[in-house]
Amino acid sequence: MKFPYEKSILLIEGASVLYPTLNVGLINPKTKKTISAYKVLVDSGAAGCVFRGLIGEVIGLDVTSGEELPMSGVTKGNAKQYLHPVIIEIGGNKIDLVVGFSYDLSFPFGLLGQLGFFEKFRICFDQPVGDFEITTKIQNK
Amino acid sequence: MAKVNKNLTKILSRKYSNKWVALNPQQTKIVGFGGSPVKAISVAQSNGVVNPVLTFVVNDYGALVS
Repeated sequence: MKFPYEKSILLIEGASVLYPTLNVGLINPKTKKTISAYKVLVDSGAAGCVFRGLIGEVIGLDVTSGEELPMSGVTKGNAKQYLHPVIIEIGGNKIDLVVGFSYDLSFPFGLLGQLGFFEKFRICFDQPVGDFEITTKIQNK
Repeated sequence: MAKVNKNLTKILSRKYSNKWVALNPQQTKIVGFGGSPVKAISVAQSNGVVNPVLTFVVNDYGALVS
């Protein structure tokens, strides 16, 4: 699955950066409530996968009932995340994933990081060409 | 398939700082926004967009160099 880089955010007035962002579907495996498209960053520097807490509420999660873990780097000060199993949909592929939902995330997009995501996919970034490729390494649902 | 806009810098303007926004699937315009994703989705659906693209607009992108 190839995705184009997106010129997503301004760093300073008049300047912008291309980012490997894409839209993922999100499904609560228990309630089957869904979000059709949530913008996320494929972030090789992120330890795990973190989405905003309010996104978890949309699919019916009791966010703070999940296992609590500390988080730092893309947050304001010390932060918490709450782990929940969800299903994400990328390019028609449904993947089981444990995502940390946080009310402290300062980054605008959800993050797909090493634990859970990079360990399931082969990912090739080609910024000069302007796209990135995600190759499924596990069996689709 | 309709072409999808990949330059969001003008759409995600500071007008929407600290708000959730819903984009149409082509990512050419904002079809809903609000203080929560539920509100943004609701407005989008009232505007006829059933499956919007959700994202959040932060107040200051200058701090996002990680």
